[in-house]
Amino acid sequence: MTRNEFFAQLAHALQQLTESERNDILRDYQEYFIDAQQAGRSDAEIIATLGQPAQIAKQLTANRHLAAAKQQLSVGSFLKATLAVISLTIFNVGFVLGPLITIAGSILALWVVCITLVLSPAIYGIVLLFQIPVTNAGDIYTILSTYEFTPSVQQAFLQLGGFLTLIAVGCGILGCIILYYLSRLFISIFIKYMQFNVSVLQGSTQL
Amino acid sequence: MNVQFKKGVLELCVLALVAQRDRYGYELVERISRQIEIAEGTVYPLLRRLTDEGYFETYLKESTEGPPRKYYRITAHGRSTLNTLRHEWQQFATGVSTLLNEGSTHDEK
Repeated sequence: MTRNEFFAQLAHALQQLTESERNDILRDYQEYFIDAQQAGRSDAEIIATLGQPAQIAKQLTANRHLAAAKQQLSVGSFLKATLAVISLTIFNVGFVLGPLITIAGSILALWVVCITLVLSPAIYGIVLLFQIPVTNAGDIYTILSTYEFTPSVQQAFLQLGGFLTLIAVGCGILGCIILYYLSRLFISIFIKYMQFNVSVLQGSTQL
Repeated sequence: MNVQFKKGVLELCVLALVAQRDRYGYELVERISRQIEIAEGTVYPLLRRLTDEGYFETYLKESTEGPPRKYYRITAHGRSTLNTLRHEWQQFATGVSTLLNEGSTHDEK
């Protein structure tokens, strides 16, 4: 972000305030940029320490509404102040955390599915070896024997089962690779979200 | 450090510095961040709030290096608040260091 972009964004985000107040705030930050520049700091450094214009504006707007609420205790001003403070802190928790948990849950569920697919030959083997009942009718051998197949057909069914698990392994591995990148993407977004939360909390001077 | 705690301390520091003499924004940021680590972005909104609440008055003064700077001057209301806060802080700091010293003498035994 350049200095001009910073000021354009800040001016835009301060639209709720009166023009004289907005100009005064912009003047303050211009002074800050000039002084910081004379102290040998680059625009990028200054912007990094100041934070996002939208956050600065939220904080200033919340302060303004709080001050107004203190001066004239009307229901309207109180509601405005409450809303401004809520938008500063809880808003993003309630409205972002919900979808976040849903997405995290879905990714976890997909991981379970893919790992199960990868492990399916082992599961198939264990089911056959220990003759674990898979339905009410009993284990796989019992089910096959009820159909009066010849031993060679039964053998073929068991082998077909084995092949199917190999296909499942392929799908599972593919799924795991996709999920790996998906999870990383999700985690990086989540971290950004947390940093955003922290900056929001640090930004609010008064609650 | 606890954010809420730091904010209270920052307010006290800003009040104390402006009480010494009239100061401008960047000067305050510089003075404070020389001693304690702060999020610089929080100082300007804080100054604005303290001005709104009647602790400070502002005036513009020509500077040799560029456009005029906004200076902050403490009001009588600001000064009395500073005295109250300073007193509270000293009690708090004394209390904490007493507790810490009790802990260290206890450990030595």
